[in-house]
Amino acid sequence: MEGSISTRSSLRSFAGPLLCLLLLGPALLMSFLYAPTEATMGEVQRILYLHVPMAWCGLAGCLALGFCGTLYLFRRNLAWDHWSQAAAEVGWLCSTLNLATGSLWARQAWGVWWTWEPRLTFTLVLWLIYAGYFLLRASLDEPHRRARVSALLGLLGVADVPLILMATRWFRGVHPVSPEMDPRMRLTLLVSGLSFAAFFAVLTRLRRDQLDVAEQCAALEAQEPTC
Amino acid sequence: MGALLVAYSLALAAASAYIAWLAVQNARLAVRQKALRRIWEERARADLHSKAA
Repeated sequence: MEGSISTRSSLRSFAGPLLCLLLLGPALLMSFLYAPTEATMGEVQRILYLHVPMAWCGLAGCLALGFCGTLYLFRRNLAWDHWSQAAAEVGWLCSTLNLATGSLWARQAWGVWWTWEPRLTFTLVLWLIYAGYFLLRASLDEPHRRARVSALLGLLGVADVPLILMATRWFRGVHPVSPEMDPRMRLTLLVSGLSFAAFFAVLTRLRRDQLDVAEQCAALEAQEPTC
Repeated sequence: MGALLVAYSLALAAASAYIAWLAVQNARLAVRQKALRRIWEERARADLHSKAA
């Protein structure tokens, strides 16, 4: 079959994500059972083990988006655009969860759901850039033009990353700055971060494979008008 | 404790929704692949027949 669709990329099994879900089990157990309860905030502080990994994955998604977008701009290979889109989708999911869990934490800690604090504001800006990225992609049909323009927007997102990371040092705000932690808390945070990162990395790979197959289908359909 | 449960439930729901959406996309792609394979096989058969004739 001319231009055959590779069986590798077609319908990769969901074994990877399921395996990662199993890896998340120990992280969740550690979050609830191993890490000690924080003295001031009590049980609610355990949101940290979800909120911080989501923040890391949201930022990593944006960096991956920018990196793959840049590679596309240099090489004009749509495979890099597929990586960008997959990273953006997963990054946006993490960024959304980061804002939502942060809001729940803020309600308990500060008594408000939201405040225009520098780190929160820059994180919201990142979320809006992600949202704009998808709107932009949906509005452009020609694949290479879409990849070019969205890569540029991805670079704008990358510019926001250092602002988020350094917001607590460069600006005055109320967001906590990496406090001293009990070693068990630190270990739980690390395990949780690595587990979530592995899970979202596998999801990104899965989505990239789907986008590759979709492009191959579109190319074959373009050759076959009756399809 | 309520906020903690809401946070983890939210994360679980969001991740499940994304995985379910990926599964739907997979199913749609499988249908497209199947249709394309059928068309290309029919075309290959027709080519063979025309060459034989």
